[in-house]
Amino acid sequence: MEPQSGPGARSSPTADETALDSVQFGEDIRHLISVPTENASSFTALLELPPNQAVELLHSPESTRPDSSQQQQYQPPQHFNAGLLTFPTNAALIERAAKFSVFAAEEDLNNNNNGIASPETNSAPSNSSAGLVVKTEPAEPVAYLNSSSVASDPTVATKDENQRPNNKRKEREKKGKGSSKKSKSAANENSEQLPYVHVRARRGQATDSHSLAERARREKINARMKLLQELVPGCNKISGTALVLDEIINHVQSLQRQVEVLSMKLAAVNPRIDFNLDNMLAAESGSLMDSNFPAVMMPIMWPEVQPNGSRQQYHQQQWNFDVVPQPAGGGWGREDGHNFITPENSLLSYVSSANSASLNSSQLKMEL
Amino acid sequence: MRPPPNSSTFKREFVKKWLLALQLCNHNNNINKNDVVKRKDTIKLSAEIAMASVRNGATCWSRALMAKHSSSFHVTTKPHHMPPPPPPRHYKKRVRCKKIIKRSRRCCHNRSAAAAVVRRKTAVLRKLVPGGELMDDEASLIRETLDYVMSLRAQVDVMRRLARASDCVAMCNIV
Repeated sequence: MEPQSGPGARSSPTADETALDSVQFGEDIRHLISVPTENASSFTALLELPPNQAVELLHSPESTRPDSSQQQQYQPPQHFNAGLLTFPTNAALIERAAKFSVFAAEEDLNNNNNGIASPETNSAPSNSSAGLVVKTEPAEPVAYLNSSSVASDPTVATKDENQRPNNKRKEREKKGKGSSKKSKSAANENSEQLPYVHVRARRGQATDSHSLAERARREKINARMKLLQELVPGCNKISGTALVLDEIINHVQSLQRQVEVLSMKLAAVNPRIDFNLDNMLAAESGSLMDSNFPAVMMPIMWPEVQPNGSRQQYHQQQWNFDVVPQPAGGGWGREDGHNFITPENSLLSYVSSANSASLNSSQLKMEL
Repeated sequence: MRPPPNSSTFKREFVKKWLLALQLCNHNNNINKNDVVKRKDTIKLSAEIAMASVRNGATCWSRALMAKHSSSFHVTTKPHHMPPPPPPRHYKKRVRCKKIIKRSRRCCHNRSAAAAVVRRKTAVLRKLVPGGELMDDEASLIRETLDYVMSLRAQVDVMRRLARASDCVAMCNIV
């Protein structure tokens, strides 16, 4: 191409250069051809090793490779070697990269890319093909980034050798390095967030913040629902939100109806009970100093109380007798059975406290 | 912190407050002793007020109950007899993420049958629990229901004991 375009005097050095380039490319390509054959095994061996050792091996690749003679034959000049050695200086990053599965997958992908790229060069080891390789590589910048970021791949070194004559390539590589560093820092940030995400989301669950919040909300609801299920009798064997809700609704309704019925019952009984209650209240308000009844009300009450005062004591004592046997044959405790959360002893304690309260009131009554 | 509704202290406090409320209702309403329905209403109202006041604003349902009864109660009572109920909180609808709402709607649409049943029952529960209409998320509704059920149980327990005792008294009177 070039000889035809330019004049003869000027074209000859460029032709020589291209010839030299082609020779070098050919060497590189031969090297490329030779490398992947045992590269696969060495690479897998590298993968098996812990990341530290792998990096060490990469720093001295000649010692590990069996074809070190061939390698030395095509070894690049010292300045480039130094440049190559400076490439994996961010070993900490590489180590961190090797720890994460994401990068491991990228390594695999990278390996595959190299495997694809090498047959290409294998099929046509000519200048044009080399140019094609050079040109096709930037076409897939992601793969290139990966190859530059993941230095544990030995073929990267060969690639670098491949790109040696091209200064533009180097610059681009540097750019790529910069961008890869950026991307890596982003990836590290992501990986710092990863553990939290893994705690929250199990396999197959979404990990964005909205679904996390939604899941947390649902878990909260479920936990409370479970508590309610334990509370409501006959509900702990039922599964399914709708049925549990049904039971809860029934329970609440039955409780409200019970309140209604009981208040009706209390209203329907002999009105003297209300006097009894009033007396009890008077007694308690006498015992409790925090009663905010005006003293004016007391005289109003007394005349009502006085007529059946003699009987009241009897009633109060009767109350005591009545309250005691309740836990034995008590309808409430038996109805709820084991589902009632409050233990039996609390009921008993309540009974005893009620007992003492009524006793207290009766004593106060006697004093009165 | 108030005692949990299942404790005996709750029941004792409930009895005290109930009697207080009953006293107030009786003396301020001056209701006819022979009107059973009115008496029942009074008893029920006082019991509810007592139950709510024992929880004393710790939960939404008690606040709602107080707010509901305070209007009917203040007309008849002198304000300094009962401690004035806490002012009803201004409930405003919580703003939730549109994305979540949209997704939940989509979800409901997908398995509409089960979700519709659950929604209907949740609405029923909302109506049963006082102040349930003001709670828009289910978690708080269920928490309130838990607390309300426990308090109702305590109330029913106390009332049942009282009814039993009164029955016994009536029996003794007859004998």
